[in-house]
Amino acid sequence: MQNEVLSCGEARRRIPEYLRGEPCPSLLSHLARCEACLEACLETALATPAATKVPEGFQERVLGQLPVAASAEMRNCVWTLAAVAVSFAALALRLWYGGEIFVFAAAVIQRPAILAASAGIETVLALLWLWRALEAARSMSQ
Amino acid sequence: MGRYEPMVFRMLARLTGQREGLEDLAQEVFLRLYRALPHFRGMAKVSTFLYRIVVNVANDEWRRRLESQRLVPIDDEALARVHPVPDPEHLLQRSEFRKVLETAMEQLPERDRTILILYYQEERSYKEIVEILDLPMGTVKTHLFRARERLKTAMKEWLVTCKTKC
Repeated sequence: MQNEVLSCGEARRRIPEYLRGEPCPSLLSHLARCEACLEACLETALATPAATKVPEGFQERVLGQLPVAASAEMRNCVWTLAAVAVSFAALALRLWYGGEIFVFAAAVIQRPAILAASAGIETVLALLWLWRALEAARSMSQ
Repeated sequence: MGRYEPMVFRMLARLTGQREGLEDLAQEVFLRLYRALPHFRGMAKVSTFLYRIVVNVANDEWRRRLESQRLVPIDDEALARVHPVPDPEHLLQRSEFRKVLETAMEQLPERDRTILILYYQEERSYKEIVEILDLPMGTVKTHLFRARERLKTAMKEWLVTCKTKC
């Protein structure tokens, strides 16, 4: 059977049904000759989303994995805090046993500006840690 | 999350060219999104941020496949893993044109394929694609033009052979 010759208008009308799986050899012959219609067919095919289906229970499975990820983040946070605490304790011990703590304290008492600056730095650090902890808690609750 | 699930699945399907194993990749997308949310400053839309993650996950998947292709001697089984054959039911529902098109898309460079999908399937504007891929506007336009030309050439070649066979 001879394929019918399609006009551009007819060819473009048939593109969607052909892309849905309807056989249409006359459209293919037209596309082989007409670049504009080939481009139109190409664009329609590209714009048609890939046929996929979200599997049932997908959301539950993802949510089931989230606390693990969150606790890993919290563990990181706890380890960093512990490392900071240990390093502070080591510094204090070293100063104490070296007898330098009194020299350091005397210097600080004589210069209140040093005391104020270190208190300021400590406060900023404490606030930063508090903010991070709150952010982590907030993202865990979402 | 439910709002973005279909987009994540259809993007991953087109970007990786597979239908099987998509759930693992989609889970990875949402887990990455979750981990990144505390650092999200709201400078971009969540959807833009999510598209970026989907593209990264798909690129990682391509790299993983290429790596396994390099490690394992090429045989039919290895090829099937890299370019999995879609299930017969799915094949039946698609026209020959679309099957050939999807194969041609798999041959495109990663970036060209990504831009093409974002532009046509996801209907993202040039500006959004620029934000998602962090590329200059000119580069996006060049890649889009090049990808379209390559697909057109591939489809023309197929139509010529099809004329005799179809």
